[in-house]
Amino acid sequence: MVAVDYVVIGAGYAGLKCAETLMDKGFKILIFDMRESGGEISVFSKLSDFSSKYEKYIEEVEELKKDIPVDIGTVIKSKPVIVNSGNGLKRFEAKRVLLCTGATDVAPAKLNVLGKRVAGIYTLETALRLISENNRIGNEVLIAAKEDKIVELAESQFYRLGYEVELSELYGDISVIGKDRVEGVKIGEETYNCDTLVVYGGRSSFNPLKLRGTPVGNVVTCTYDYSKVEENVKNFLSKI
Amino acid sequence: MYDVAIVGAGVTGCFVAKELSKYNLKVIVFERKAAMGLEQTKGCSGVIHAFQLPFNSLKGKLCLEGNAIMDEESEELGFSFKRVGLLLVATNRITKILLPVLKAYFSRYVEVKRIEKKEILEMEPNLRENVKGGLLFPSAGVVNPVEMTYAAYRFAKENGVEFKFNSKVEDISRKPNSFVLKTSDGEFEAKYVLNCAGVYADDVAKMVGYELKITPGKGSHIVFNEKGFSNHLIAAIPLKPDKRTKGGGALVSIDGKVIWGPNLVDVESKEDTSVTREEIEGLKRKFGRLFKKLPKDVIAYYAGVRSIAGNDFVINQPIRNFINVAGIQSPGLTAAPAIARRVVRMLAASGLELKKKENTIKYKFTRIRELSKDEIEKVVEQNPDYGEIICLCNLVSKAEILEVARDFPSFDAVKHITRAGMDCNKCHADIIVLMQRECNKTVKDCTGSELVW
Repeated sequence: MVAVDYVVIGAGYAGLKCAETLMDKGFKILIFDMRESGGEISVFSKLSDFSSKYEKYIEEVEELKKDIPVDIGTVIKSKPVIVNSGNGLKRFEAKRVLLCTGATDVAPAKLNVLGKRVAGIYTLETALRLISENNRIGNEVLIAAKEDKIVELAESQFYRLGYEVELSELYGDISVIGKDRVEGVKIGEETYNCDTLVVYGGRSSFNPLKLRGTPVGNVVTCTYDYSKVEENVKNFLSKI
Repeated sequence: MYDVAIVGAGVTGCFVAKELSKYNLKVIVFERKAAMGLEQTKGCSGVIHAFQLPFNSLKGKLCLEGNAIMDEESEELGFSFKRVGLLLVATNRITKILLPVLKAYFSRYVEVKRIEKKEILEMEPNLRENVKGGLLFPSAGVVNPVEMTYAAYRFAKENGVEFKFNSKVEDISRKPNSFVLKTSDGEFEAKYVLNCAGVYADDVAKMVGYELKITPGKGSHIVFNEKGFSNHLIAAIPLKPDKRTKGGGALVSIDGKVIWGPNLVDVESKEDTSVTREEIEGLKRKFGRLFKKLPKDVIAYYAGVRSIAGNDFVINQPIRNFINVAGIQSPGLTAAPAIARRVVRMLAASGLELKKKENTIKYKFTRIRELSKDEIEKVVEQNPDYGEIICLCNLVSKAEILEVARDFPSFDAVKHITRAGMDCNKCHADIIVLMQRECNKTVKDCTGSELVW
């Protein structure tokens, strides 16, 4: 069994950053990602408004991607590390495991999205991923979200891609109107005409298999604000 | 000419098709939606009931029979089934006094144990201390209803049954010894017709001149992602039982999530699966009072529409060689395998020649989460797509998703059959992007409404 000092789970901004620093310090490391290197920063790089706002992180991630060899595979256990990939199962021994698995948006039901579960309801994360892959998710988008800088950015991004966009704050129940597809949304006394509802009410850490390890980055900060993710990563690395 | 035409591919239609596929017959199934089991079946609670009152009703009998053969069915078809047990608790003095009487009554039909307060609280530590005792029915269980239906569909398909999806039966005309079904895919002739059309069984019955009244009864649920909060199907013994509904319960899903529901709301539309604030608060009040606290992490609200035709199932033959399998509301999921056997017996009695096939093909599903490490190695070697996990929460691989998506380009079908994306939204975009690539188009559900334009 291959033994290393560190296994890093997740090759987004935090994972790549940790891997770089640890390698520089001479540690033997392995870094894995389920998908591809770059995490959601790679998603943002495909969206024009996001790419200017997240420029610094995108550049940094692009550089790190060149230097850091990431293995594609899903870590399904962390003690010992077991990875499932197209090459079968591999086991590794690690002195320490870093969890850089990031965050995920809170589910619509938790944000009181009620009514019929028709087509056209997305979390912000899913909507961004889809439009970054050149999918069109509708025409008239209502973004119902808590106050956050990411929301204005999403609004301008949708607008730039030719969507009609409206914004609403999250308060009380969000009742979806429509038979098969969103035809409107009622929030409080206000009714919005739209064919797509994008909801955002915060994020939570993404570690569904409850892997054990030291959480670093967005799995701790749970935000779209990468200055906070950066700070968390820096804090962690300064102690190594 | 087909021997048997089945209208509707819900759990009932698919189980009948599965049962008929064991014989040398030409069978065809019409489903107006894009996939099987995505209407009434999808909206149910997933409970395999220990019993249904009254015991002497048709549904009461078929429930016991279905429950008894469920292990066998799950083994043969390859769907997950867990006997988690039903805990009926007494929460007041009157129902506590009734416990010995109830136990004596139920034990004539079904396995039941008397459980003392202390033991109940050990089994379910989140229950409130005011529980006074209860009855445990160990034979009650849970399944994933869409997975169960898919497994029956797969078995039937592998064994020669033809399925037509997006195919609506518009009219049925009678010939001396057969029926002609006019569908959106053209005309088909069959000797026997089975009406398994769920909430639309009345429309289908009318096509042969039989009046049947189906009233839609909505049932809503709350799903919490706090696995282990409760481990049994739990309900309070009612002071006055409701004739129309068992009253729902604090349930669990096959993967241990908590489901509270269903309620019963009469609705105008057969497709009204909306969930309202009032219903959610009602469910929280009703089941919240059993527990010390609410479960954490609401992840979904969902509703299904029961097809109600009076108090019992309607399984009859109003005209020669036309069989209604209608009004299959709760406990229809439990009864489905028993209903299928009953319908086959009815067909035989009406003169359909049944000759068992020498061999039937058992379809083997590959689910990464159910495999040992060595088995994973083996399947990945054969198909590297099993090594690519798309849904981390439920360990669903790309291969499993593609297998379903190639049959049904429906996000809901993929989600409910494979469980990918059931616990959080993280992988939804991945699934959709993958399906867009493979199927060119992805619909949200059986309604055909497009998810991505």
